[in-house]
Amino acid sequence: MTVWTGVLSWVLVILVVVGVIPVAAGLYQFLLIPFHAIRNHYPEAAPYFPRVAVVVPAWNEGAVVGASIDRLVRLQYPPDRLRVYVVDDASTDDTPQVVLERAARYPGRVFHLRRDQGGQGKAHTLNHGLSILLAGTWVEAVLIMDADVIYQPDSLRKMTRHLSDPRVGAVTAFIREGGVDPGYLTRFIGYEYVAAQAAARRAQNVLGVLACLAGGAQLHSRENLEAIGGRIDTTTLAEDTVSTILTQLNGRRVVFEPYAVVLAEEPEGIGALWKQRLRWGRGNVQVTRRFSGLWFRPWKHRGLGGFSFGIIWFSVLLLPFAMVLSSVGLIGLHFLDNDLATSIFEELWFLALCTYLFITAMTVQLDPTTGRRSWREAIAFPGIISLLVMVTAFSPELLTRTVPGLFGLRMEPIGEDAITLFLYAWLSLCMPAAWLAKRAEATKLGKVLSPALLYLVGYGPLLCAITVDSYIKEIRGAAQVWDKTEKVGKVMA
Amino acid sequence: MTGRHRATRRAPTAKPAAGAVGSALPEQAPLRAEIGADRRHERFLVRAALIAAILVAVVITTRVIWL
Repeated sequence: MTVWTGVLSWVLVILVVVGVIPVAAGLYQFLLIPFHAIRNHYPEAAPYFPRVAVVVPAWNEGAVVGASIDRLVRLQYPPDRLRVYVVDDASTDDTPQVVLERAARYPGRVFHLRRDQGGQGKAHTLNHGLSILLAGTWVEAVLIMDADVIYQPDSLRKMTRHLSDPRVGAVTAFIREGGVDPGYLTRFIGYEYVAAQAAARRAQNVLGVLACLAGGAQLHSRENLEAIGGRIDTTTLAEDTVSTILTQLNGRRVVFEPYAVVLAEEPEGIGALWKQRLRWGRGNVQVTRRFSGLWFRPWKHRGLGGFSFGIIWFSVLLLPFAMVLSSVGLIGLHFLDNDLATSIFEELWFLALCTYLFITAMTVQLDPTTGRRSWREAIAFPGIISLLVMVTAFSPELLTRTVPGLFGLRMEPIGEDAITLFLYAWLSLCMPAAWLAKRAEATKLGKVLSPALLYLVGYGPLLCAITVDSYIKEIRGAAQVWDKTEKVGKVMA
Repeated sequence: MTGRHRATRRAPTAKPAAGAVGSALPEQAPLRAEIGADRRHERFLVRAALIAAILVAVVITTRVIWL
């Protein structure tokens, strides 16, 4: 081996190791969760009932907004301390009639605020409402929500108890997928929400820094809203993340309350999910750029600029890059030093297997209801093919010798090579494969096949593919459209 | 970092707005008990992590024996 091949080998090993960072970051986050048993905000919480204005942005939400209002006024909260303001973004359906009918039914508790020029997106709609609310003195806290979500009766009072601590500026709840008859995709989303909220946000509570207030459940103290400018950011597609970061930069804490549960209806097709998550993904890219002077600079903010938070943030944002680099490293090593490639592959994927088992076992226990409903999707979250790759790392000769041997066959070296290269490349290939599942859904035959394809390829790779699309859209400077996710009001009561 | 705040607890119940009818605020004791219960319930996270760790330990042990 020459010096140059030695150097190249090291470079390729480093590329593979880059691919391990997001796996390790995921494991680290989940290892933090049990510490929430001792490091949480409950010792500082106390019963507290500020005057809360619930702001509901609504654009053509006639199908769902009436039921939402009915449930909001029935929340376990002093009636004279709770008002509902529906900010109607120039709806063209029956939203105004529905809201005005509720305003008449609940006098002094439900208000209809109409924007005559609409269509600019949620943040503009919210700002219309906030400018009116903050001009008065009644409001002590503002709950920002979506028109279609359903708050469990005790959820608001469980959130406000954290605001009794004046160091807390905002509180968020656990958004749980709540479709009545969930399809395969909504079951995937349900599981994802437990992992990304009930699990990851507990870990962030432990770290003392939160990445994002859930868009459908943001409770701000009035002081906090005024401190961050009295309005919601309109320059990015992730206005909730910007509010979260600004709150913490202003010296206030943001708390996740896992026992405040809010049910939400989620997209039922890959195309609709792609549209929604593309908005979120692009928003995250924009937020990363906007706060570029903050990351990995603990002297700017101990939590947000900390190493732990930076690794967690960028592990999500750059996961597709890491996966591709890892594949490139393994394939390069295969041609340069096959034995080294084999042993690194086995160790990398075995680590992935252990992380997957730990995360899955934790997640299904955190929310047993979703765990029972989505156990198949929990297992298939990384994709059946990726599971097979993990098993191969566990038992290296499974595909090349054991399985063919069962049929009395013996694989030729070229076949072994092809399978090995496929296994190495799968970390990258899974993303275009997920994109194919989305494309297939648009066709008649594909509509039938796309669910099976998604189980094979995995929901995780689908999210990575959407992240890649968000990079592309941002680089191209694609128009910033606030695409509303279609909702039909099928959330369970 | 700007805007540091006094770490004093807010009054459990704020005064009603001028002209507003007095609030029928819920009893404090059950709500405090609920906070305590939620705090204690978080101990289940330790059990969940232990179960997950045992699962991983079994897999690692199996691999060590297997190879």
